[in-house]
Amino acid sequence: MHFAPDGQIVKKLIVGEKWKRHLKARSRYEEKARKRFRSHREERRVLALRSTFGEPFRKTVRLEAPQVFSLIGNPDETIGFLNNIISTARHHKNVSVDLSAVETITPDAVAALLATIDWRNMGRAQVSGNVPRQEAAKEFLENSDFRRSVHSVGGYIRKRQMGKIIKSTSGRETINSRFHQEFAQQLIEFATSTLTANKRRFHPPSYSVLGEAMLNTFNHAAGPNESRRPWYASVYLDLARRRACFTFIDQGVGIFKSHDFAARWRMRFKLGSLLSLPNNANLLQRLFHGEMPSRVKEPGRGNGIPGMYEHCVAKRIRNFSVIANDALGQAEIEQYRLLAKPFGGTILYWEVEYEGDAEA
Amino acid sequence: MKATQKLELNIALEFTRTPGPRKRSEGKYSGEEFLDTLLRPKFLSATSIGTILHVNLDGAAGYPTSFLEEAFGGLAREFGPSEVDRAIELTCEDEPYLVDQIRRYIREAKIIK
Repeated sequence: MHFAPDGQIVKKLIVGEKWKRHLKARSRYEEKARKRFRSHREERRVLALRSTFGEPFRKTVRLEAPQVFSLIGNPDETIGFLNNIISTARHHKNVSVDLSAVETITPDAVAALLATIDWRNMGRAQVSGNVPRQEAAKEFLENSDFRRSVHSVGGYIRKRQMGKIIKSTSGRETINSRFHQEFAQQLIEFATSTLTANKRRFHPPSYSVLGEAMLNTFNHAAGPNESRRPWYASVYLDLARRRACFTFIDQGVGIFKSHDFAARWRMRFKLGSLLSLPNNANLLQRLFHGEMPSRVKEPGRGNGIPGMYEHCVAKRIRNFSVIANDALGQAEIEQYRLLAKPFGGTILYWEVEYEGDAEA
Repeated sequence: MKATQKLELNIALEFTRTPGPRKRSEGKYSGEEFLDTLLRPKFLSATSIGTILHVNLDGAAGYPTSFLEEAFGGLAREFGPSEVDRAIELTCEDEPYLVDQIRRYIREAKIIK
């Protein structure tokens, strides 16, 4: 017989019915304790979710998209529709996105819809939806890469990938760095390799615009006490017009509600021109033309948006447009106007024209 | 000064094909990093031997304005716009407008005392 140093019999040598019964009883007890712990933990998790988001939603509201679903072409109705989606979810209702009546759809609207139904805006609301009845609009949506970011019921077949959508996020997902060169390059390569047979797969002006847009989002889009804001970038290939349509969306506070911008410029303009107070459309125009220095008190700042505008004036990019809060600026036609409904964030849209050597 | 005496700097070959943001804290291959690791040392070498620094911008995916301003504007803020403007030669066949853009950043830079 073996003895442990303290004089007790070593456990492994104890055999017999009594010991086996003891082990069985202990195992039953431990299993019960584990179950109790698991159910308690689950209960706590559910309680935490309910205290954050409230009870699970029962009611679903159907929201109908406008016939012309385009931020640049029909901004007032489209922004109103997107805002409705967010406010419905915030009122603890599920959302059914009805795209059936859509006849015209543009790439900027697809990216904006995806950004809108992001989990940050939707909370616990469930989002479902359908596709346009009109065949061309349906095909546009299905080829746009939208389906890759949402769950689809069976039977959906993408005929051809004509678009690419990339998302960068913060919060519970990780940011590696503020400027994702590889994301910018992926979008550009997708466009150039499909639209041209040219092996040179760069488009420096678009790379520059994407880079500046990412940096603006990370440096200015979040509110004073908020974490970094996510962004969506997309490209869609318009074969008929031989153009690549780029969209960059951040759902931050928007240029004109950026705390630094508001503090620095709003008061200055209020004091300086009480009789003709410039609205956000006027401010956007000044921003395009480089007449508003950066709020960052460091030399050499504030070249981002004026640089994009210069690319458009020189026709290196086409139809450069910006929606920021309640202002829309279209550089190519020099049109700046106020919108009926403000967009929560900033949208940049531009096109790149490809000529000659077509592959598609 | 003879053309053969120029000191060469090719950004795509010696630094990166995908230039990044302004500051190191904003991502990789920043203008600040380029200025510290390549542009300033080469500029100093060129000026010490009395030659011109030839910067070739071809072959990169593109240049964000922040990157260019931080690198070239930063150099001009340190050594003076006229000195930098005189000692640097720029070429970019891919995107010729970049040369004027950089010259503007150099000229508009103010020396930090």
